[in-house]
This record gives sequence, C-alpha cells and structure tokens, in this order.
Amino acid sequence: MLSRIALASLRERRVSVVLTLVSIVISVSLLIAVEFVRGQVKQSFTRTVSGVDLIVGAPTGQLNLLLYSVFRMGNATNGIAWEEVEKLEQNKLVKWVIPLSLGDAHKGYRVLGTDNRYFQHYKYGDGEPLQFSAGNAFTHPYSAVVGSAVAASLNYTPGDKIVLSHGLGNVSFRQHSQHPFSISGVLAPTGTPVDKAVHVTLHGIEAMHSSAPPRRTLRRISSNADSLNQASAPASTPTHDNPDDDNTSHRAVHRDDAHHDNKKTSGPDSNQHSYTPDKVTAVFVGLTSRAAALQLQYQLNQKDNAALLAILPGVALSQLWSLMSNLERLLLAVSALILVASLIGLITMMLASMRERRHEIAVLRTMGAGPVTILWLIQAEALFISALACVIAIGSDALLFIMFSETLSTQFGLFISGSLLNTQTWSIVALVMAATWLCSFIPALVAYRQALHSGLTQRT
Amino acid sequence: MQQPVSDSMSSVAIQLDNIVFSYPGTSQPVLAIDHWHVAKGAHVFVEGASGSGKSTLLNLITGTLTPTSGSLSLLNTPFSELSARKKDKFRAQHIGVVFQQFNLIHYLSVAQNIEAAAYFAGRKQHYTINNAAAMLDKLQLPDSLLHQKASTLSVGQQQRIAIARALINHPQIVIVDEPTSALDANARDKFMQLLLSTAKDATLLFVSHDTSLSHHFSHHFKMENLNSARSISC
Repeated sequence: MLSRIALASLRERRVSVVLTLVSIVISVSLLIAVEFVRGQVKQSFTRTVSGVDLIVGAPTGQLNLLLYSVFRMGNATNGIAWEEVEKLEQNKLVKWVIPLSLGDAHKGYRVLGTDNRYFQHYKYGDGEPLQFSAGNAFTHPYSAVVGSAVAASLNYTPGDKIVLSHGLGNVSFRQHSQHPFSISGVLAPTGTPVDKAVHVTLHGIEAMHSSAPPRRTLRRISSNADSLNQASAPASTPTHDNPDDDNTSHRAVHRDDAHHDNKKTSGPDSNQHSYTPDKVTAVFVGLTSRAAALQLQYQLNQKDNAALLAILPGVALSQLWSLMSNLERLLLAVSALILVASLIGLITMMLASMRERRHEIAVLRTMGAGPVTILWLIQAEALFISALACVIAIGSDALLFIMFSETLSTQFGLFISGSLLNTQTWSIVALVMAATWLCSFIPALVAYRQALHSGLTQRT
Repeated sequence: MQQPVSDSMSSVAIQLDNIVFSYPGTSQPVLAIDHWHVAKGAHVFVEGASGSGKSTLLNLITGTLTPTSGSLSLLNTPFSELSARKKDKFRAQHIGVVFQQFNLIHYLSVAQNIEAAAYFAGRKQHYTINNAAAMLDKLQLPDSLLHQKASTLSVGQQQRIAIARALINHPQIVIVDEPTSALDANARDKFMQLLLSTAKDATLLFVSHDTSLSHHFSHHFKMENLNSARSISC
C-alpha cells in the first residue's frame, strides 16, 4: 500500500519528477559509462600483450621500452646487438624469442620488422593467438602482414603492394619505393596496437636499408617460408637494381635508427644474400618456465659486457596504468560531482513539495500513519526515483555501447567485451541508492517533523 | 445541555482531567479543561469561534498533540501516557476523523483512500471492494466512484467518501471537524443525516461554529465554557 501511495504521489508531481529523473539518469549513466569504459580500457591495455615473459631492449626506462616495443609509441634510443639475440636464444631458460625492429612507417602506421615467430608466439588478451582474417604469415622476404585497422582504413587485401617510408610521420620524403612489399595476410582484429601495425620481414627491412651491391637478384622463397621462421637463417635477397639508389645517403638518413645500423650481408654468393641485422630494437622472450623470468631478468640486467634491459611486461603495464590513475580519478570525480548535483536537485524538488503536501500528510496521519511511516514514504519516493534512474541509465548505456561498439573499436581501438552488469555497475547502483537514502533524510525529516507537530487540523 | 456525571467509568469514551495545553514557546495556555467526560455512544456538538481552541482539543484527543499537563483517557486507555507509535495505532484502530476539507488524498482513487485507512489500522481484512461498495451504497454514492480519482469528485462526494473512510475500521470514536462549511444548506442536511445514521453506534464528537446543526446532537457544548468550566460531563 505504501509503495502504491508513493507511486501515485510521484505520478501526481510527474513534471518535476521527470525532470529530476532525467538529471539523475544523466549522472548515473555517465558514472556507469565512465567506470565501464575505464574498466574496458584497462582490460584492453593489460591484454595488449600476453604470454611474453620478458621484453629485452637497450638500456632505457622500463616504461619507454614497454611503450615502443608493445604500444609502438615513441622511439628506441638504441638497439641491441644481434649477437645478444642469438645468445639469448641459446639460453636454456628461453623457449623462444621474437626480434622486433621499428623505425619505419607506412602512411602513418608503424612498421614492425619481425619474423614468423611473431605470429606463432605473440598472444594477447587471455592468451589468444593472432588469427588471420585473410591470407597468411610471411611467405617471402618482401612479405607484409597488416593489422585489421590498417587493412580497413587503407582497404588492403592480400596481394596488394605497399611501399614503406622512412621515419614515423604521416608524410615522409624518403620512400623506399624501390622495395615494395607484398601483403601476404591480414590479421583479425585484436583491440591491441597490432591492429594498427604493418608487419614486414626482418629480412625485407634489412635488405631495404642495405648497402649491398645493386646487381643482386631476389629469388622468391618457398611458400612455407621456413627460412623466415628464423631471422638468422639465410634467405633470398632483394634486387637493388635501381642505379640511382644512393646507399650512402640512404644510410645517412637512417643513421639514427636502431634497426639498421651496420648491416652486414652474410653468406653472399653471386645471386643470393642473407641480411642478418646487426641490431634489433627489442626482443620478446618466452621462457620454458614463468618462474625463471625473475632469474633471467636479473641475469640480463646485471650483464656487464652487454648493455641490456629486461622488463617483466605485467609489472611495466601496471606501472604505466598507475600513471593514468590521476586522469581516471578526475573522470570519476567529475561524474560523482554530477551525481551530487542531481541528488541535490532531488532533495530540492522534494523539499519544495513539502509545503503543498502538508494536508496530504495530515490526512495520512488521520488514517493512522505515524511520523515514521511518513518518513519512510518520502524516502520510498526518493529511492524509487533513483532506482528507476539506475535502470534507465544502465539500459541506455547498454544500448549506446551496442550501437557504438564498432565505432569504438575502429576509431579508438576499444573493444567492448563483457557485460555492463558487472561488479562495478552494481557498486555504483548501490552507492547511488545509499546516497539517495541518506539525502532523502532531509525532506523526510521535514515531513516527519511536519507530521509530528502540525496536528491533524489547523489551529483554531 | 450540561449534565452531571452519571455514567460509570466503563462507559466513558473520552475523559479529560486537569488538561492544560500551551504551544511550545508560549506561556499562555490555549486550552485548560479541569474535567470533561463523554460517554460511549454520545453524540456531542462542540461549538466555538475561530481561535477558541476547537482544533487544539481535537488534536489532543487524536494524540497528535500531547497535553502540557493533565491526563486524557480514551475508551478507558490512558491515552496521553501512550508512546507516539501506540497513539498512532490507537487512533488508526479506534478513531475516525472527518475534516473540514482536504479530507482525501486527491491523487489516490476512492477505493485506495478507503483501503489506506484499513491498511494503516492494520485491519486490511476490513477492506474488501465489496465492503467499500456497501459503504458507498449506505452513503448513497454509486459503486462506479470507487475507481475514480478523489480529485475528480465534488465537495459533497468527497465529504461522504471521507465518512466512508473514517468508518471503514468501525471506530468507536468519530471526530468531525467543520465538515459542512463548504456545503450548501440542502447538501449540509443530507450530509448530517448520513453521518448520524452511519455513525449511530459510535461516540461522535462534532466541532463546528454553525450552531444551527446543534439540534442533530444529544449534547451541546461551547468551547468557551469548556475551557473555563469545571467537571463538565455528558
């Protein structure tokens, strides 16, 4: 009966109730959306790399190494010698290594030089492997595999030719137009920086920057590309048949890049060359046992003769995320302030209605409703408004996320996964209801006092 | 009109002894009644001008105001000594009230208004739609009004629905405060007849400044006399 009275009372004041409801819906939906997106961003952030036990690079800050090796942000200040990569590979604790070479771009997208072990061992999310939506991994030294965002944005399909450019900007005056790459595969979306990367072979990237004589010819390798599975294995060489290829100036342009200083051509014969890099930017390392990560990290970081930095991706990711916590807190604070403003609006609306409800309260008292019942009635009305606002807010947020999930993934690389009805959302709902309950004491106590002191009839 | 105390205590519905009431912050009492007894089943008319203390008396009897001193018993219960919650419960179960106006909760239907009275009295079993319809029939109102919103009723209809709501729990005391001031002469007479016939078994305390209604009652008091009189009973 009490709830029916409360509902009927709210219906009676529907205009002010609807306005209050709208304001609470906006604030609660903002709060829930911010919290949900924060969770999704964090999840998306931490799921960027998985199954990699160590990241090894030249000595720098651990965040810098993480940023350029995983997020492809910023530049490496130095590289690590290929001999160190080979030594690392021979370490009995190491199961696999993925060499990474960064420094070039294609139409604004970062180019990553690697080999087929990348597609075999690199994992993201909860250990999900990379999948191909079209084509397959590298098949020859000038193969390229593009991420889903690159393919979607530039409309690439397997078989298309692409030309890399020097440097990281959208516009470059140094195009490697004499060494076009052929797209062999397109990766399925991952919601990680992989989507926005152009992957090319280490061989190709080294050959592209090589100072080898221009008479060499490229011999296509077999489709199973066994030689591409090991960067150090001999592979076919590209044709540098452009007589205008000014290798001296080209190398001058690339002098600062960690990935192609001091190239050497190994195993030369008259027709074939293998481009083994002198340096790579970083190496992803998979270990035989995760427990060995700390041990190997210590060994590598303490090495005297080779300057290396080994980081644990999980630790570095947590450190990076903690840097963003201020922004996260700011967003939450703004949403919370909006909620506080809405709750003040709710109290104001209810207090304003108290004067016109004096007779209604008197009638309820006549019928035997005690002051406590009146207090509960007012609180029930406030709680009903907030509960309805929470339901509408969750519904509208869910609808918006469904409608814009594709835009969020393509434009912002944010993959929406999981339900909106998670612990965080329920916590927000509980918080809103508790705050409403506390705030509603103000008008409820006014009504209580009114019920207690005004009597059933006016004084005569 | 004033009669000596003749009823035994068990037949007393309302008993006031040495009642003094002052509103908080004021030293001047607005009501001072030494002794006043109303017998069970008596129909009492209390006449008084505005400011004479009529509503204060009603609020004391219904328990929404507490006397500054003195004691008040209702149906042999030391009402003034009860806790606020017990007073509310006692009022809901034993007292029916009809106001001058604003009798009904205007956003509820007629049926809900009547049902609410049974609900707050903890006597939901007293309310059935058939009971409510029978009550309306007694008050010469059509059943169709039950599902109508109270705000859509005429003043006369609202007053009669207020009687229905006041009597749904079969209260032993019915308090009526200036119920006819908004009615014309014809409607007023009709209202009085319906009130007296439906509440004939209850103790009826009717407060009004309209002395022409006093002939409907067995006892007639003036507030001015009540306030100054000693040991008045009926």
